[in-house]
This record gives sequence, C-alpha cells and structure tokens, in this order.
Amino acid sequence: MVHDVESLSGAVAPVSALGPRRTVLALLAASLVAWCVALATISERNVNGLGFAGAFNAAAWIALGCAAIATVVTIRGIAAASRWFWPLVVTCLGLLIAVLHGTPMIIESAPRFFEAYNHVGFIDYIYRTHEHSTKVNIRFAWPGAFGLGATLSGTAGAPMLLGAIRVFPTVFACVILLPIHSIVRAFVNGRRARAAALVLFVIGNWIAQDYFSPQAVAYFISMTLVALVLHIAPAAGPSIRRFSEWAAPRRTDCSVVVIFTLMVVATVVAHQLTPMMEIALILALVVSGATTMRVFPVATFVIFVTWLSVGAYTFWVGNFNVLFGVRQFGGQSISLTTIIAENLTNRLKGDGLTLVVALSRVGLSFLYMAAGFLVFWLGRRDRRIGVLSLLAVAPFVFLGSTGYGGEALLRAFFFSLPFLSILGALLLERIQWKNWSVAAACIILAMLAATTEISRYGNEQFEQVEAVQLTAMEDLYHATPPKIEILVFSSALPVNFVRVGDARTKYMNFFTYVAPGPSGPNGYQETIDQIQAVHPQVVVWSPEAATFAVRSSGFPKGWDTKILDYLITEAHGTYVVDRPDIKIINLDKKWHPSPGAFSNVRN
Amino acid sequence: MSETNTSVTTKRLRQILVICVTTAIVGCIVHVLPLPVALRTSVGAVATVVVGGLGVVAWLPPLRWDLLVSSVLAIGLSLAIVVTTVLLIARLYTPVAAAGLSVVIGLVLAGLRDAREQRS
Repeated sequence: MVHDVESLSGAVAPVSALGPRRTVLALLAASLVAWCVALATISERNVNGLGFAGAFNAAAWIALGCAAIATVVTIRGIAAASRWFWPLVVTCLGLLIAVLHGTPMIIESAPRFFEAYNHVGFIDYIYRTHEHSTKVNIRFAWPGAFGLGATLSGTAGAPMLLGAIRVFPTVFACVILLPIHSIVRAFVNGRRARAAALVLFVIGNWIAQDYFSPQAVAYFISMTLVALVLHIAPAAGPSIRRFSEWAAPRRTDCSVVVIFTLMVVATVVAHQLTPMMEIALILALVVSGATTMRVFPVATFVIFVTWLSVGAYTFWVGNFNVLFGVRQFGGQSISLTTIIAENLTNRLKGDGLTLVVALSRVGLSFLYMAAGFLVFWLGRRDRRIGVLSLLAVAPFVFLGSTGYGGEALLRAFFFSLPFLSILGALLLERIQWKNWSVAAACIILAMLAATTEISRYGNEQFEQVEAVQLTAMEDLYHATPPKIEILVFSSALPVNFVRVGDARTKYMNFFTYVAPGPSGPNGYQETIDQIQAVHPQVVVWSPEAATFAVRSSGFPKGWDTKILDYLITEAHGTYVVDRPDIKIINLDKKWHPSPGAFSNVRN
Repeated sequence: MSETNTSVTTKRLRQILVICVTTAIVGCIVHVLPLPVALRTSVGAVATVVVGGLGVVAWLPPLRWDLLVSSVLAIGLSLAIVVTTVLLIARLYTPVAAAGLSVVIGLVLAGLRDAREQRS
C-alpha cells in the first residue's frame, strides 16, 4: 500500500510500500532490538579517542540509524493531523535520546563527569552543616542549586546522589524538550516543522552542559522563562527602531511579573553565568517588540548585580578584571581574539581521533549557524525570522562581555541552539520534497546523529570514571584522618563527593607556571616545587587525570611517570593502592591505613 | 471575561487546589511511613516541587499542557531554590524546613488564588 503524504512545504511524496505508519513502527522496533543487543555487547573499555562512539558496535550504529530514519519517515510520512503523529514523534525522540544519552548511562560502570562529583560534595556539605561557606569553596557564592539538591534529597536522610549523576543527563535531555516545544510553538504553527525543530535540538546538543550541575537546572528555568514570556506577555508591536510606537504604554499583569522575578532570582542565586544569557534573550525579545515586558531586562540586571555585589562579594573582590571581561595572563590583558582562540582554534589542536572529535564539534556547530544565517537571509523581511535570528545571536554577545574564557562559546551555542533549531526547521519548510530528498534526509539525519555521538562533550576517555576508581576514592575518604590534604594529578578524578570542608583537595593542573608553562624546560622542577609547597599527605593518580592535564593544561606527554618516580623514590611515598587504573600514594608518615581499608580494591 | 470562561477558570483553580492539597498530604504520609529512605526522599522531592510549582502557577493564565508541565517544574524548583537560599542566609536552614516552607507557600498561594476567584 502506498501512502501519499504532504511534505513540510505542502508537496506530495510517497514513502513506502508498507505505509508510513507500519514503516515507522518496524524501524522503531528494529532500533529498539538493536539497542538492546548493543547494550548487551558493547563495553566501556573500548572507549577510544572518538569517545563513547569508539565503543559503539554495529548494533549500536544500527539502532541509531534506524531511530534517525524512523524520525524522518514520521515527520515526512505520517499525516500531521493524525492521532499517530505526536506519539510517534515522541517515541522517535525518546529512542534517539536513549541511544545518544542513555547508552553511556547504562553501560558505564561509574557515572562520568568528574565535575558532577564535586556538586554532590557541595550538596552533602550543605546537608551536613546547614550553611554555605565561601571560605570552603567560592562556588558557594551561588548556593541556590546546591541548596536545592540538599533540600530535595535530604528530607528523609543523608543524600545518596551518585546515582543521580548517572541518570541526570538523560532525564534532562527529555525534560528540556517541554519548554523547547513551547518556544517552538510560539514561532511555528505546523506540526511537522515543530517536530523537526525538536529533532534538530536533540541532534545538535553535543555541548553536554546537561550533567548534574547548577547550569543544567538554571538552563531549564531560563528556557521555561523565555517560553512563558513568549506565551503570556507576547506583543506584535514594532521593534525599537520605531521608538515612539515601541515605547507606547503596554501593561503586564502584576502577578506575572512577580512570578517571572521569582524565576530570575532563582537563576541568579543558582549559577553565575545563566542570568547574563537570560538578560540577553529577554533583551532580544524586548528590542524586537516581541513582548510587553520592556522593563524586565532592567529588573533582571538589577537582581543580578545586587546578588553579585552582596551575595557573591567574595567572588569579585580583587577580580574586577575577570568580572568585566578583561582576563589577564602574564600581566597582559587577553583580548576578544584570544578568548575566541581559547574557545575555537586551540580546541582544533591535536592529532588523530582527537582532531576528528574537535572538527566534528566545530563542523556541527557551524552547520547549524550557517543554516540559521541562510534562513535569516532568505526571510529577512519576515518579522518572526528576525526575532528568532536576534535570539540566536544574543547569547554570543556574552563572549565579549565576560572573562569566562574556555567554555564561553559552548555555553553561548547551547543557549542559541533552540532558536537555531527552529530556523533550521523553517529552512526544511522551504524544501520541495521528492522521494530522493526523503532518502537524502534519512541519510543526513543518520549521519548527523552519528556525528553528535562522536562530538558529544564528555565522551572523552578522560571523562570516564571506572567503578574501581570510585571505590578506591570512597575507601580513601573513609580511611583517612580529618583535615587530610589530598593532591591529585588533575581535576579529572572523582573527588570531593564527600567530606567537603574537611578533606582538602589540590590539583596539579591548577598549579601556576612561568612561561612557557609546564612543558617548558623548567616545567618539571616547577611542578616538584609546588608539590613540596602543597605538602600533601596523599597523592592520587589515574591515567585519565594525567591525560586531562596534557589536554587541558599543556603538560608534556609522559609527565606523570616522572612525577610518580619522584613521589616514590625521592619523597619516599608508599603505594596504598597500585593499579593500572588508579594509584594512591601515602606521603604521611603518621597515617597507616588499616589492613582492610582498601580491601574493596585489589592491587 | 465571559461567564463561561470564568467558570472554566474557577474549575481549573479548584482542580489545582485539590491536587496541591492531595499531593501535600500524600507526601507527608509517605514521608513519615517506615519505607526505604530513597522512596521517602523521592516522594518528598516530587511533592515539594509539584505543590510549590502548582501553587504559583495558579496565578498565571491558563497554559497549554507542555508549558504547564515545564512551568510547574521550573517554578517549583525556583521556589525551592529561593526558599532554601533565604533560609541559608538567615542561618535557619534544614532540608525539612526548606521543603516544608515551599509546600506551605504553594498551598497558601493556591488557596488564596482560589478564594479570590470565588469572591469575584
């Protein structure tokens, strides 16, 4: 049976002799079966320079490909008014998310993202002490999200959040689609285009700012706020270019303003960067005349500055240069060009598979931005496209306005992604679909999904945490005396998830060096000097930590071997754990771990 | 606002109030029962977010389902964040106090909105 279906642009194209619904159901079933086979057969030990994509076997790629093809056939082939349309779209999105984000969640022996372990520790600290001391960690200047974690996880007993790290990215990838759909609905009426925008958002999200973190919570609140502004306080008035008309009185309900303010306050006390993105996005809506809430960006800015001046005082005192985007290195101000270099060109250094991953990230991002620019150019007289383009560009203003450095571009792209996805869907609306273009769309989406798996941030080897490493660290925190001083080879280790404020952790990749840095002729000696200055009682090494220092901080390859030699031979350390995946060295002559202290970890 | 719209709004607000009260009661009961800590914590967390979020959302105009669900979640989380931060600053913080206060604020706001609608 052949079904003729309307395309995004209204043209007609047959899909399959089976009929689109049966084809989609068959593809979804095949994807699900292949994914189950993949889960049973792939191993995290095969993660290589391509990240988790390196561990994917044929079954995993088939699962991803079938899910991608099913998505295209659903959007193109199922009648938009049919009661099957949205259930199938949601199922396709669910499978794409499951394969892209859910596979690591299920396969990994311990959850990845070492930064998330710190956040668990901050939540535990607030639960234990009922306070947020910036003397313990400067990130307590924004205690909102950590306090939220303590409140939600600590009412019935001590928080047990290591499991939450594992499921959080997948849950976030699903839940964020709700506000994104609301934003899409404010700009796009057609069901197919709305579904396409959601798919593009899922496929384009390689940024991985969705791990167990304050920015993930703040991102969700921000996107919901933007959706609420678009739906509750919309305006179709002129942009600020026709100022007198733009400035004509328009009212917004008081309760709405109070509720929006509550959401802004929550993001301001939860995360240092998200409020700036919020201001940028709401300002874009205001100047384009898309909302009645013209004073709201000012209110948001005042709340942001107030918290920064009072609550986050300890952060900015003495750091005005960082606050106003003037970052310095070696006494020289860093320009916008350097910040872009940190974000972009420096990330393209590397070789082999590392370079492939870097190129896939930049390529995927530029593809979205190029599509966005093309739609803007083609529809530059369309008010809707003008507003969307402004929203897509606004977060990048942040690049030049802060001293955040290395991850600024990632975060700006993440906030821009919903609007770029809508612009991409509008581009698809312009295509006159034929049979061959449907086949091409299937191939392109499958390739994009594969690229996302390769480029997904956090897929790197150094982000992986093995269960034995986590167990060793748990044993270490359990066995060591109070006020222990721990030195780790880099921040790519699961540390600080308990005993924050008691056990102090220092990181070798945060050591300071004179130019040309740790790879210079004096790099080794400078490292040794700083180890002696820290005077640690325990040193922890892992291959991931050593690699991360090479990748992120310019340490030379093989640097860790020389440091380990020094710690054993010259500093007279002893191994309490000595494995290829983790080594714990005791430098404290007074601490003698009990015989069973590390019995969970065999040497 | 027409009479039909008014009755729809009144019905919606009454539903929100009933859901808030029911969720709060169920949350409290589960929380004191001798059940596994993970279950008690999960139910408490969901109740805190849902009651706080729904209580505040009652003051917004009617929303479509997607925006309603994300608003309840986002506003519930926002309320819990703000309450927690205020208690931390005031040095009065405990997890139960923050969660309890969020729930009470949600219930009071839902009740006030319903009462105002009944009066009008």
